[in-house]
Amino acid sequence: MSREIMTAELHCAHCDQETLHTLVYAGRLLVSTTCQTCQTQVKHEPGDLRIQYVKDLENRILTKPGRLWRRFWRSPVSVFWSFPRKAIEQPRKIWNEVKELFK
Amino acid sequence: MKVAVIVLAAGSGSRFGHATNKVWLPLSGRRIISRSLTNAVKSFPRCRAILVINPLDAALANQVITREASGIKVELVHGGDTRHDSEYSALMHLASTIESGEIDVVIIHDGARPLATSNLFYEVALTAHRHGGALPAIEVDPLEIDLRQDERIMRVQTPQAFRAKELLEAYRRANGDNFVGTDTSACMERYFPDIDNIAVAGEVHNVKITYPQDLVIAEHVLEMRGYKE
Repeated sequence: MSREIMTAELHCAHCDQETLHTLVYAGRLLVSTTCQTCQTQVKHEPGDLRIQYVKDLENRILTKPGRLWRRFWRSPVSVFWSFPRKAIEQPRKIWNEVKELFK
Repeated sequence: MKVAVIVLAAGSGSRFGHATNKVWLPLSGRRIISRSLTNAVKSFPRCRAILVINPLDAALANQVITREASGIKVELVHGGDTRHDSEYSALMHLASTIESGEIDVVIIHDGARPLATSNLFYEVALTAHRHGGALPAIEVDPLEIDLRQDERIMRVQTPQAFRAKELLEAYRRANGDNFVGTDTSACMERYFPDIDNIAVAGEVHNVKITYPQDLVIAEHVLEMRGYKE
């Protein structure tokens, strides 16, 4: 989930009604939301988001062994086969997240 | 105290076919609904957990539960067009166990409130067990209101909890009368006006994800809590 874009229905304060919004995520954090009707954008302050990203990354790294272990117990075969590819992709994924934060 | 928790996730997102229902959005690494579910059952190790979903979200629900809430035995129930219909479906799903006395208290929670803590769930369940009904409320700051008001105005949140048998009876009667309540307590107050519905202290951070800003606030709150609860 280096840069994920989702669409969801949220209440736009500008349109004063439920509208479709485009949500952009970097890693686990929301970077911005944009109302598809009036284009009003909501986002974290850039500096604030970067600090939050560092804290979140720390939490992701610390909790990764536990999450991986639980996933392994749930479906050992798929984790076994997907692990090497995911491990190799990790640096690129984080690099893409960082790029998204400095856009 | 034997508890059943109903988490409502069937409502929003239905008007635009291709949009994600907001309860399935990620929030600091986990879906909003899985945070709501986990907090809801944390204080009740042997409770029944009912997740009311839109039938179109069934595959996603199974996937999210397996990945993010695998320790919880979640029963999926298909919801209706309104919040009231969804509550009714969930109560009918529980009807036989409520009638046999296996459930004392039913807690109903809005899946779009991922920040309600497990303490709040415990507090409402305990209060409902003692008095009949409980709901979290927070006093509205008078500065938020345009009109001059002498009365105190409270903002009501979820989770709301009620004694199971009375709640089931209220919804059965409402169904017979075609009454649709705005929330659970509205239905209880109509059919069981004598039952005490006690307000417990709500939580400032127990926001309902409605506006885009709420997602940003929720991320900050989770960061403050060290990404727990």
